[in-house]
Amino acid sequence: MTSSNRMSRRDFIKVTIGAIGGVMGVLLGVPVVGYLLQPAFRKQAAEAWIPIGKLEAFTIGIPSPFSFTRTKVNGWERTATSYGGFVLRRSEDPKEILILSSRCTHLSCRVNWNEAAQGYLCPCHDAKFSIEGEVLSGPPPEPLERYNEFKVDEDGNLLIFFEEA
Amino acid sequence: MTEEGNPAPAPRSMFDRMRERLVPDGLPEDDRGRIRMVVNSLVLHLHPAKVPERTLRWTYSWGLGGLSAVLMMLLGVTGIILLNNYTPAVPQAYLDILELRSNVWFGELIRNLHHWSANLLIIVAVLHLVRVFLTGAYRPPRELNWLIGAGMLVLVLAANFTGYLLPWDQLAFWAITVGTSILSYVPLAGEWLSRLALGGPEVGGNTLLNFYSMHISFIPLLIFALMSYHFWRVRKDGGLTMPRGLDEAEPPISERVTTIPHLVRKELVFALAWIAALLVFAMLVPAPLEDIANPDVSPNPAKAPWYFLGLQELLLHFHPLVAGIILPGLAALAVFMLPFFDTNPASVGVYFRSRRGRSLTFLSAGLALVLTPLWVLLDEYLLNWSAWLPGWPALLSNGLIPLAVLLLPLFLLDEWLVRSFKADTEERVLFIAGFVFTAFLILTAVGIFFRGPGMGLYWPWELPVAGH
Repeated sequence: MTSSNRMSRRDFIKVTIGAIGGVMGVLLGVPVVGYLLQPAFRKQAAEAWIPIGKLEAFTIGIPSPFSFTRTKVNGWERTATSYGGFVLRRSEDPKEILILSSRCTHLSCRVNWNEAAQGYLCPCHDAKFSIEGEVLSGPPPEPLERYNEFKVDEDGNLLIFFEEA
Repeated sequence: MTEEGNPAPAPRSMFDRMRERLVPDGLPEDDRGRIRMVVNSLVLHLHPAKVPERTLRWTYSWGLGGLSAVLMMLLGVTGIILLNNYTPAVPQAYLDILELRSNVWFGELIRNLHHWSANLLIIVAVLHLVRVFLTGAYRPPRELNWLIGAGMLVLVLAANFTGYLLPWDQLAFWAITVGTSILSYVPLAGEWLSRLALGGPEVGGNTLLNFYSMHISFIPLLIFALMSYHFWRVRKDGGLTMPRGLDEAEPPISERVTTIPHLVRKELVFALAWIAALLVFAMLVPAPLEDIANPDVSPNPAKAPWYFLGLQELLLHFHPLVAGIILPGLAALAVFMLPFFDTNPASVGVYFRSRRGRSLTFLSAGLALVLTPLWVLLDEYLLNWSAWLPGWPALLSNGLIPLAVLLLPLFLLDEWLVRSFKADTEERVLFIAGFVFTAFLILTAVGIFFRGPGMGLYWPWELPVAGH
């Protein structure tokens, strides 16, 4: 450093190029990074009442499968996502219904009701859930998800309230 | 105008002039010419003009790095031409593969070549890593090239994983569903990471597009750049490490021979033989393809690609955070740190470092060979941590506690080595790596050959042959 307070020519050029380069880097970098990260932040909040079948079609005491598809249109791109689960009617009472998602809480495979084993079995990593969706054995960290909000309309259709995370 | 004693130039055809432009010196006749040819050529200049004869031994390098490069080239060429018959959209992707198999000239062959080259590349790249590890060739000054190589192995796995989704069949859909679900167990950022990879809440059209763009642009470009740098560093770091027998005290002095023909001839023969073998294999064995992806039905069993079955086997025994993230993360960290704590230059070029090193490696591999299946059986039929520790969070009861129980013997073995044998760093590294690597191979074999419906244990000959 010289004793003078004046900036040397070399330092001036360093600082100026650094500053302009930094600004340009940010100007270019923010859009690129934002563009790439956007899918992770996309809010796809959607909620709807979804009919999953006639109430009387579900046998009392035995879990019966249902599935539905949600389609999103974004420009020319159509994305269909499939969801499925099981309905268990405990009694004639239309309030006494347990509706479980068929998505295994371990690694997202689809579980199946197995009458012989009296449980939901996951084919991927040998997990077993009880008829209530509790983990009996295997690696899942949590019980099967429940659709807690449901209703039966005047035509006897069972509807579930579906919230997309 | 021709002068006396100055003969008229012979008439030259256009083709002579073209040949002179392309190879001005003609094909070399002597060593001097051969050296000039290497030095003057862009591609051949990857090699030095002369190489020590000893490093050319088959039984030292096994040509594994070169074979990886050949496979990358094959994958590049077949991959680029496959693009002409593929649409990354649901369900068109699957229909395109069907079309490729039945109605495109040689479509099936090109797809098979791409598929089998990619599978072979994983084996060869891992063997290359094992060879470099066993000969200590990652030690200074070659640390950086070891890191680049390990980085490329990660990229090769990523390329395989992203490519696995593209046919959009049941195999693809469920392997990717399981694989990306592991991401959601990353602490804090899990949900976010999984959404980023999938481009939505589930595997779907956005995921296919994401994986496709990664598979055909980002990953291959990065691999190509790293590969070029890798080659250049080999030369910068002084070529291959000098092979040395277990009983040779000093690195031997080896006669240097010209790269043409001694090295180049070997490389060409080796590459041609492998390409021919792959071509025959691709003609005979079709790449698997199952039914179109059905998000409502997981196949039974739902297996990952074979090279991830060791990890999938871990997932059967541990909480996903431990099996899918902590254990692979620790292994990767150990691989990347290796050249910075195991640095002894004295045993570079010697397989297994020393006679004692060799014994220790075989001992650890043998231990793993016995203990791993034993542990798989125990955990399958006897141990049930989550039932023994009811009410504990699964991450503890089914993750960290069994992990500690497993790592403790390894730690004790290491202590025993140090106390009883006064083992030094390189012997401990050989022992632990030999144990962990063998255990992983066994887990992979269990996943491939012994897991059947419901992921239960079966004898290989009892496995139902389903569809493929």
